[in-house]
Amino acid sequence: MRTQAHITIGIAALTAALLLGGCQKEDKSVRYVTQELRFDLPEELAAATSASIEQLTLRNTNTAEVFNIVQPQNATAGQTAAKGLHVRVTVPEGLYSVDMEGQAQMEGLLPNKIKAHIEGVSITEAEAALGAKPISTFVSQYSDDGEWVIAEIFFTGTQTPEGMPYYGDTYFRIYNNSSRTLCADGLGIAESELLTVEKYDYTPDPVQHAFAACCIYRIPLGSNIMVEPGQSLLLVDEAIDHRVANPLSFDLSGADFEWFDPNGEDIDNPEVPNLEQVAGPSYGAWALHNRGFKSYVLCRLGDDEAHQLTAQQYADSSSAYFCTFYYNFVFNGETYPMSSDAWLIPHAWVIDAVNLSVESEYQMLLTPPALDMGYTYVGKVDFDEQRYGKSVRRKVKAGIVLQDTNNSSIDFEPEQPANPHHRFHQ
Amino acid sequence: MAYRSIHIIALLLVLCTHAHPQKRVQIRGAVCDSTTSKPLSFSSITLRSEAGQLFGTSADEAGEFALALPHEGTYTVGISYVGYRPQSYTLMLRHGQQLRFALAPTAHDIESVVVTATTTKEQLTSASRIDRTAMEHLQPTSFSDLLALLPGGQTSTPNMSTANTIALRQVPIASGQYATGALGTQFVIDGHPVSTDANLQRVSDDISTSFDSRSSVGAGVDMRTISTDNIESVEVVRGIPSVEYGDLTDGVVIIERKHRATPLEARFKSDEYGKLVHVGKGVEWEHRQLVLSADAGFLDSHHDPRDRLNSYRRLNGSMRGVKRWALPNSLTLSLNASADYAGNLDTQKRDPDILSQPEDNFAASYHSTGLNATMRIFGGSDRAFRSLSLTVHANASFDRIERTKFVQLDRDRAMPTNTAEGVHDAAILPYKYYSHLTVDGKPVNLFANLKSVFNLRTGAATHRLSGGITLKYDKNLGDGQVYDPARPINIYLATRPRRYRDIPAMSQLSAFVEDRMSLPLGPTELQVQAGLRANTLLNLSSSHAMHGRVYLDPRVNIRYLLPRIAMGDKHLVFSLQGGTGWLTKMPTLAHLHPELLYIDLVQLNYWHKNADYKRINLRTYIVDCTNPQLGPASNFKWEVSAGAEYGHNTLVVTYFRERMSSGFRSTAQYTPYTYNAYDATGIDHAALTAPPDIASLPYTTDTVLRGSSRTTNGSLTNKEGVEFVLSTERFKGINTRLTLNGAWFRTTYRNSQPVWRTASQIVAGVSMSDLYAARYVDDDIYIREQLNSNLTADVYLPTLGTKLSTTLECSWFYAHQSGRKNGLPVAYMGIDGIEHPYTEADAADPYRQLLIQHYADGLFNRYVEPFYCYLNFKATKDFEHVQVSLFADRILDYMPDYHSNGLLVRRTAASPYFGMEINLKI
Repeated sequence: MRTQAHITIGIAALTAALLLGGCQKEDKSVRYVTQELRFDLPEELAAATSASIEQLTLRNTNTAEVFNIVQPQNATAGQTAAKGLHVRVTVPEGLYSVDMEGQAQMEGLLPNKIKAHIEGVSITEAEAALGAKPISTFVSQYSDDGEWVIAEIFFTGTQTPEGMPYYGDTYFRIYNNSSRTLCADGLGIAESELLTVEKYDYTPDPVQHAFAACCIYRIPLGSNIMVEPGQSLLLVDEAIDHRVANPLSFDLSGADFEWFDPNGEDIDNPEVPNLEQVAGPSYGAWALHNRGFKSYVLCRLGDDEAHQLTAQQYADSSSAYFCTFYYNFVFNGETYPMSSDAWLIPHAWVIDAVNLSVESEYQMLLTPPALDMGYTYVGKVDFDEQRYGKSVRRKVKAGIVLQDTNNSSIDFEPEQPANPHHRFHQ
Repeated sequence: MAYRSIHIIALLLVLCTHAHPQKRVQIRGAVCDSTTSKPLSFSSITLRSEAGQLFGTSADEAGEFALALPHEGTYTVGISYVGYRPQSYTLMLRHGQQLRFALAPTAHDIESVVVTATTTKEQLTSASRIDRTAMEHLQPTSFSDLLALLPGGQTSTPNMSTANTIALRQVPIASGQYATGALGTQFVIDGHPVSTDANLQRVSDDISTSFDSRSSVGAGVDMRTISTDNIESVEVVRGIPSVEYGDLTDGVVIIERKHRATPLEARFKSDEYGKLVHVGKGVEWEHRQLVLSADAGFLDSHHDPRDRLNSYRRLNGSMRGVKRWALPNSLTLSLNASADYAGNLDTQKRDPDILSQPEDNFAASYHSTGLNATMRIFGGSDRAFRSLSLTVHANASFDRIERTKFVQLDRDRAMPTNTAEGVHDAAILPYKYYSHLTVDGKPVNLFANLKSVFNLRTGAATHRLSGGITLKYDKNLGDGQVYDPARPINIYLATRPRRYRDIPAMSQLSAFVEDRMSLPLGPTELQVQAGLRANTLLNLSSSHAMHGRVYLDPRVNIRYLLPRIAMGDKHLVFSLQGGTGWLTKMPTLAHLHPELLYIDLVQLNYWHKNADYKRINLRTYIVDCTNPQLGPASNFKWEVSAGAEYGHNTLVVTYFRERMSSGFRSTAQYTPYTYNAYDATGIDHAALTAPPDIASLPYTTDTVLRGSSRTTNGSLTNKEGVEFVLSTERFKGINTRLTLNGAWFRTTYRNSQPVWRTASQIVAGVSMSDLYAARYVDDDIYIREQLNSNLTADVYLPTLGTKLSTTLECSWFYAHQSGRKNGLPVAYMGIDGIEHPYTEADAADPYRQLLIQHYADGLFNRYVEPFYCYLNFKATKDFEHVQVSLFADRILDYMPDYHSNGLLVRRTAASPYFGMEINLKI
């Protein structure tokens, strides 16, 4: 009995100690740090004679506090190429995402817009002591709204009257955002192997020079599909009237293409042409990630329309376009070394990219910022029960031109009621 | 193996004759309980001559002993037995004298109150004994909880939402590929083994695997189902068991239930996970030499107290009787009989109020009924014939799994209703339907054992010779997997409904002979137990490799007792012990008779807007997955141990190794299958008036690889470890005993045969798994290591009727590692079905290079979780008719954070587990 009394006293003492310890920790004040940032100009502008920063924003990842750095220091002409653009910022210690917009000018040419977007920048006293943090910039091309863009992605599937998820009705809409008629032959849709909700040090890093895909389907070469400006193509999982199986779904029998897996128990509407299966993850029909953790790109297997590889040629070069990479998966503090495979699509082949994620789980973008520096979403939390039947849809810039600033956070309307027959313009 | 054991037996006999002494004085005797006359097995007897010479022995199973002394004369004889008041007599001993000692039980003997597991001396191998007092103090919910008392054991919160299977002397892993150890640990209740060989209760082909953890098919006894309340004592044989026990690989759990007069006892336990009620009583009619006892219990348990829809319930009842008759010629006849019932209900449901989705239910019920009878004739102590016993046991169980699921499809799928090979059209499954499935199992297990024991003397050695023959029969009479294949639970269904009663019965015949010898060698004593067991499966078709084969298990255990050293009024006794042997477990019904596999290759899946014009055409192959090469799982074990005993202080340290390379495993096998792939592109869809005619369609003949799995002897489990148990006597004044037990275990699990795998990629529209399969040397290699110790201080205050114990459970380290694996295939198979060596050229081929498995280097690192410890507290307080107990596990913990791979790992202790119970004795 005495033992028990001792234990009770022990617990009380322990609780008191924990409470006191907790109070002391709360007493911490915010520490400001002055950190120097260095924006390095892109290679093609290395010989620029003048450059400046027009807008610089730091967003604290933990507190969501945004710091707009006013009157950023402008670089003087001539110094930029070698030393980059230097800026000193004073912000509370923490983890930041940095967005910069500015311009750089080569002698005798018009100024180029440059941008930088980087996440996970740690700003601490110790880091500041190490000197300027290098940040790479890229040439922004938002004067041109792109040729082909992904206009809508419907990845969540619908819900049946019984409340069951239904997945056969997912689709992509790809859109001619240029001012001329374009040929769609060879345009492919690829799904990322990695997730935007995980961040590991991958070796080799498959996303450094290429988009790491698990699945690639494309419009067959030689289809002679011509699309006028402002017109689009609907690519769907199953081009059938889904209302037969699920009254809450829609009729996709009028789709332009469907992705059909000849290896799985997939069905094929013979009246709708099939996309060509270039690479697939595994046996079974391709289903999009229905919680929106993956990224999608519109691409060609080649530098331009005239130089495209056949699926066979792409596969035969598997030593160049297939990659095994390694990372340490950490779960409950335990490290599990993993390996994974991906098909590689060089960034030069990517025409448009859209990252998807959910806010509560977001970790990293799977594209370089020049392709897409943001992400769009359906649902802000994981397993959002309300996500079914909703898609992400690109905003209309003006007339028949859709907005494409290579930032999906801005360019897309999230959580839109999915409508495969949506009209972007009259 | 047989020859080896015969050599060992021969050697023993030679040894005995060589050790023949000069003329000695022989005395015999027996030790029994003074109130019940029950023999006190293995009680200890010490003699001191007037000259101060010491002699000693221990009684056998029947409480009898024989001793050789150098001369007649006056001796001081000491008799002791745990739980009884030791006695000492000064006697004049003569040759041929018969002695009889009766010891009085000492309810208040503080040394007899043991709340931990003790090392038993009855087995000549590593074994732990847990008695009623320990169980009452531990306050278990099911048998699983008792295992925390074994060396290396750890207290855990009962998890009643999954099958609880046993893992002796190993660091367990969760993998069905290494379940043979659990399957091969035999539970013996009142002399009959619990057979799980006809257990087939599993939803085959259910992709909702969360329910599968509730099944224990192929993994032995589900310990949730065993209530501890009618158990008198448990002995867990971790070492090399006597050959009397067969059809096992790892060890034996021997459960003796209460067969004695007890007051009306009632137990009520409550903790955050459930409630338990138990009532029992035993009555004795002394003049009729009859004891009857009966008990019943109920457990209602919820794994998550907030979730009332996932529950486990157990209802059990038992009636037992013992009757003795005195026969002429001083023979005794006894009959033990029992009738038992155990019902288990395991349910999991979705809450219809919370989820918008339709019901998805699982309910499993097991109603097991058993009859057991043992008839035994005892010979007198002066006869060579000691006993002849016949045990018969019949068990019938009525088991059902009911599974309901709402299935929603998003594309047309073939209805898996065909049962014939060949080409046929398939109906199309509806887009939504309710699927109901019943698994009806009625395992019937029959067991008969005839056993005889003789005592013999050769020179100074006493022999206890035993032999027996066992017949075991297992059959399942259930309706099996009952469902409508037109509404399958799994649309990828590759099996069809099967009646379990169509599966042939399995029966096993085995026989054993054993000699347990005790040989005094001067002041020392050698004890040897050597035996041979032969097992064979009957009722097997001649295509099986096991047909007509006899498998032999030789086993030997030796104990050498060094001279007793007198220190004060007690003796210090050192002993050395060792043993080795083979343990063999036959495959179960599920291993021997797998379901047929249906491979449906889609030749045409023609979709049309008009549902009447759709057509799915299949080519079906039926694969018999029986492995005729399957053999039993065989474990080779050896151990050495050293022990010291001083009064009630004991120390035992054991080192052991075990190697089982033929554990049961599900292994994939790939075969090419041919079908016609019809090309529907030429059809004029608008002009159709009926489904397209196959005969008019162009086609190509394709060959693809498909896998099927077979049960093989492909799993290896290697065990190594050191176990230690130190137990002190109760320190006077504070009435406190210290018990330190623990173990270091290192267990390696891996495949013992090469494995076949395919690559999963689709390349340029072609599925790699259709084209190639490759053979690899390494599949999985798990290396696990841990060092645990438990230090218990227990206080017994007889005047207050209070028992208190505090246990410090320490995990000194836990390490896990994957053995280095080679991802390069040894060979590959194409659609030709022929094995080709995998060469450098294959590694450069754009397709076949995908067969190389890449492993991250760090994968093979060793990860160590460092020290942590918990403090558990238990208390029992006796009032006149009431005993109140409470426990608080993990009431305090020390779990420092640590760095692993450069990352800080923050550890938080599992939440404490509290509970209390009341025992009434009226």
